[in-house]
Amino acid sequence: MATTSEPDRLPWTLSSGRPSTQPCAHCGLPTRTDDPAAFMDTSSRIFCCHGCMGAYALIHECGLQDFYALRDQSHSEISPVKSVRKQHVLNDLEAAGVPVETFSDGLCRVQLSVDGLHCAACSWLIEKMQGTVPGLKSARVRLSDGTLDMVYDPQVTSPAEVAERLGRLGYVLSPIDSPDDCESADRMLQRDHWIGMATSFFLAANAMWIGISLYAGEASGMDPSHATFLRWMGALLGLLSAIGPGRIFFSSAWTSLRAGVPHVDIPVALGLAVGTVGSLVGAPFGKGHIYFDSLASLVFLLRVGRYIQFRAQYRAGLSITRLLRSNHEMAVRLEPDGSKLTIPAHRLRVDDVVEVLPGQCLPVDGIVIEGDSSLQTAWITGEIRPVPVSAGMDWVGGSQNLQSPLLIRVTAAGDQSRIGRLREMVRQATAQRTPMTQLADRVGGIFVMIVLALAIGTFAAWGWIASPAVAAGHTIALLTIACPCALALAAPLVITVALGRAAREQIWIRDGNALERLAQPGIFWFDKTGTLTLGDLSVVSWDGTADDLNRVAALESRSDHPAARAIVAFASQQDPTWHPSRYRVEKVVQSYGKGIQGTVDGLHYELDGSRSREQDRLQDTESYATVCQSIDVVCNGVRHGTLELGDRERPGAIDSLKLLSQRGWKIGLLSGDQASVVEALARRLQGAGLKWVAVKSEQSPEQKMETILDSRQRYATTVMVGDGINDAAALSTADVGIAIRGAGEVSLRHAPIFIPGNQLESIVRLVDASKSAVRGIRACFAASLLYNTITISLAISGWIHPLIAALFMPLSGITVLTMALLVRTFKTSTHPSQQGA
Amino acid sequence: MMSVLYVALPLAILLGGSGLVACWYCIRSGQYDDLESPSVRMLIDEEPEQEEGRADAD
Repeated sequence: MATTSEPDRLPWTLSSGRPSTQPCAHCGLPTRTDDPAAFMDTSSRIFCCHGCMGAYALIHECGLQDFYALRDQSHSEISPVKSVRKQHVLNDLEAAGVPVETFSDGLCRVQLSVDGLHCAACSWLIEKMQGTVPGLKSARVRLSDGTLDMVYDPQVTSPAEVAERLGRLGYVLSPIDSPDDCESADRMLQRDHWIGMATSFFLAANAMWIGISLYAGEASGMDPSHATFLRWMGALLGLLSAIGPGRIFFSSAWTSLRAGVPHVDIPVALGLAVGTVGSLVGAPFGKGHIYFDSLASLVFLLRVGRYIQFRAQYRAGLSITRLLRSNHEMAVRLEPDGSKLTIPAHRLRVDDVVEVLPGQCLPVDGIVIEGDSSLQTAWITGEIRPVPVSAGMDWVGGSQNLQSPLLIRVTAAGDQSRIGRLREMVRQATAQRTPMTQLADRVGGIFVMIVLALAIGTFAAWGWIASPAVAAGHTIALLTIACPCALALAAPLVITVALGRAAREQIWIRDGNALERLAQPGIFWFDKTGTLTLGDLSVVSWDGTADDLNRVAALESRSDHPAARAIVAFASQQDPTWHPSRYRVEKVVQSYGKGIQGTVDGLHYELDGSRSREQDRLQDTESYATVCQSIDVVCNGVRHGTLELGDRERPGAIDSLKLLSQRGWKIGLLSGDQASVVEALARRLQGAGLKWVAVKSEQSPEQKMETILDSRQRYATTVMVGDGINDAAALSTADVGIAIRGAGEVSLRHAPIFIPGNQLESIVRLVDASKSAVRGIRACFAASLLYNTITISLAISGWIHPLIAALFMPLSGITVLTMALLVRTFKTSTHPSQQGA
Repeated sequence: MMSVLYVALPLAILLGGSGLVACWYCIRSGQYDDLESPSVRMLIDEEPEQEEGRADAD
């Protein structure tokens, strides 16, 4: 059960090479032409990497080659199989806290999350694997939320075995057990929505039939007693609709009334209440207009609108939940008997001894008891320079171990740890924030007041001029025709359509209000590390020859260190034909904290990375970089050059910021990093023509939150853009929080918008989309108000029969809906940077 | 003649209502949770028994 990293795997995708005419037989990505021998099987099929070759072989071994036909049919892309991650955590499901259901016949059932699902072909493949794994009784994939429901015989197989097999195909199984996995609650909510829609449809359909019979009866002279009976039945159905599926509107209207916040549900509830009372009053007298059918169909339409809105947010939420699940942090705990157990990191307790492997990041605080390494603390402090660590020193939650394994003793876990306290702060900030008043609420509130006043006036005036019966008829016509349903539906619909389009652009919006808020320019606060800069170590400069670089990169491809990864990425960027398999690498020795040495094509290379330094510089005046590490490359005892590693400015950052300020937004910089580094970046962007409102450095998460709260007082809209754990509180206090890139788990959970594609251009597009969405909503409102003004004045003057009013009502709804769907958000043309993946 | 309405209408609604209750049951038991997989699953043919060493369909 020892957890070791596979020695011979190649963790980098090799797809960045020159595209060839022949795609990879498994994933369809371009392969490399220059060196086809590298990944070619016996039937001379070409693959992009070992992983894909293995997956292809396995699929054929199992006789499941139909997968490829199915994949081509559904025009889907399969991701290349990067590496086989062993899922040790699945060995001990109980320790991982995964609920396992055991049946009387000894079979077990478990639900796991699957990462890497794309289309029907994937679910087919996984379900068919069931026949080839002994002991796996059934496997069902749910595409909508990416879960696998499997029944297996624990005597014969284990989830870990299934996971390993699926892992070879590129699917990663992980447990579903994160502490506040809101997913099942959302599924329940979805069921409620379905039930509400079904019930309201049933009631509306029946009420409508009764309504039609009454209209027909009126024309053909129906027996009054029958008419009364039909009215009673219809009124009953309308009442059921209002108190059944329509209940949610009343309760949310009541909540918003108590909170003193106007909400669009108030006019809706009022309309429903008037309709209900009206149809109940009308029923016993057998006269007056029939509106129980409009009432019931209004409830149905409103429920459908609510569902559509819920659905868009649910989907965005799901993709984030799924991302969180696949990024599950695992910890290797040393048991008292010396064995190692892999458990989810959030189940660690105080005094546990944990082994932290290079690359790992743990959410607990602790003390290092063994090992020497360096830590990456960029997510906590915003500083990219690795911090050396040795026995006796503190491990702060959220750090990433860079070099060699460490043993740490946990001193604080859960809510007591630094991350836990941060998380608590974020939670409080989220709970305290007052909901924004939406445009629809404001307009809707005024609208309903005016209509009510007019209705009372109409009733009084016509009661004075003619009889109360005439007055009632006109008033009801007015109330029917002035239904706020168009107003209530237009805004959510426009927003929902925009959310759907945003998702296609890889912008996940969980809260539709956020989109509306972005329409009004205010201030944008940007985090530095990882937001305006790349946030990963990358090669800033190299003063040696290309040949040396290529050989050094071949050597570094044997290491998993972030610096090594940066060098490999740099080499393949400089020379797309570069590939480690073209070099003969021998006698590799890695010494942690110092560097790597080995022989490449007969030349002995020694890389000394112990020299750490700090320096800001402009790189060829085009972009800015912070250098934090220099690596001397020594070949056969002679220094051949120096690689400088550091953090670079994100390409396109300056353009995006400029575009934002052109649109009237103020720009601020809010970083936890040292003043000198932050100011250097600020100066460079200022030199490029950008105006800062404020540049704040060395900010703790608490200070960031204070800054945001303060700026909410001063600006119409405060937007925070960040990625780290230290941004989480600021993200959740801002009017709109935008988490970008790999974003820390805490940030992801609380930011309403997430942009995984890490392109700052997306933010500009988002702002534009928000503007056009709000413009669209306004247009819908204008159309609806114009229509209402005309019809209401006709109704007041007594020109409209209640029957015609009832016919007109859906017409206004349909017009508004059509308009809402035609609003253009996220224009598809200008988008060169989006990749198809 | 039309008095049959007093029986027929409630009966019809009751009948429809029982369908609605069945629908509730289906939703509660989770049949509507995933609307994606079943829609594609039905398109997948059960493959016939395959012979060993069949030429690959690539």
